Amino acid sequence: MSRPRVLLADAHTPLLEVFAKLLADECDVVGVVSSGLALLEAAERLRPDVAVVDIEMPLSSGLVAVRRLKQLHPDLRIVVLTMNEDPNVAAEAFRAGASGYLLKRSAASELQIAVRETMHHRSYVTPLVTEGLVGTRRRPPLDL
Amino acid sequence: MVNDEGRPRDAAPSRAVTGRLIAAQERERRRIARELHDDISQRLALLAVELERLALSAPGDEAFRRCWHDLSHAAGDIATDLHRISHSLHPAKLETLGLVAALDGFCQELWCRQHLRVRFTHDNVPRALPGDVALCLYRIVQEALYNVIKHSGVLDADVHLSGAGHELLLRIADAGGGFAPVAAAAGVGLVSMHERVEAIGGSLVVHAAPGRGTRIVVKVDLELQGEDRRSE
Repeated sequence: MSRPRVLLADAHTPLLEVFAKLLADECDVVGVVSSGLALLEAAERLRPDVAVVDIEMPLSSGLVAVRRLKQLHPDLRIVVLTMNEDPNVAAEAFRAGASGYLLKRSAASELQIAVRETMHHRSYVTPLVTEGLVGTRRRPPLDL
Repeated sequence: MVNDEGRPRDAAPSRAVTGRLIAAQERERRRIARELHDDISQRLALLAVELERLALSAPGDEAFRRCWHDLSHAAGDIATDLHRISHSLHPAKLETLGLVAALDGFCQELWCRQHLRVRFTHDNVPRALPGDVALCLYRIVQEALYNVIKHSGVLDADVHLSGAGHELLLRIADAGGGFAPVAAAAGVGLVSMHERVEAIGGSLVVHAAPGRGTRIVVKVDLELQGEDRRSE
């Protein structure tokens, strides 16, 4: 398989630089953008295989951008890379069309894996959020 | 049971003034939340990532790498806590996922962090609500459930949100120690709840008595949001 072409979207430039370095061994980072609108424009122009997207960006919510991206480019794999560990938000990201969800804090050990998994048409969810998604952290039933 | 509607009203500022004060407070909270989220917690996340890169690539023995990893984990924990504080100051989730998802997340968080078991139910709640109504109801639930944790002596509570026609009804109940409403009427928490609800043209009633639990009922007319309050 050829090296995946990756588009990075995050409002925080220093993080974009680090994420690009983390992916450099296995991927070609073809573009970096800092807003939801720029992401939509760059995806149309660059046609990447994978978009790594922060869902908390200015000028259009990242979730809106993810949903729109998936409508416009059904084959594009989308990995959400965020500070938000809320399982409800993770679930909404997958409903919007994401294939991966991980936290920025664990990007060094998980970002390459997430991109690799999505390139093989598999989903990836960081273990830091998985337990919330499957319900182990959810409230127990009440006996009222 | 005693209904609490008896807080002093003569000195109360007009609804419009209260509304503006609450809006100013929310704007300031939003500004601080953005500062925490957009700057400090992102810088900490960057630190966590760089430390983890060192842990993965640094030569040396396993104990040395473990040390870098632990430092990365500590920085990541602080970043996550700041992110959580930021969302508590201004729940951005209200705008992205709506009131029901935001309340569900908040109730889950109370279980994880405070071990309060909240049964949250909802029916017929419109997905799109006016921003100030959603924020008001979210703040009421926050305040009421923090009160359950602090004062009720029980670890269970019920929150129910429902829509009927153009009316939204919120009910928060616990079977804890309750209180004497007259004595508590001047408390900052209850006054603040009343003011928030009045600012969006709704009503709030507290049913409580010592030893008989507490029930807070809020009603909001959604039609009013589009008519009377446009001019305020």
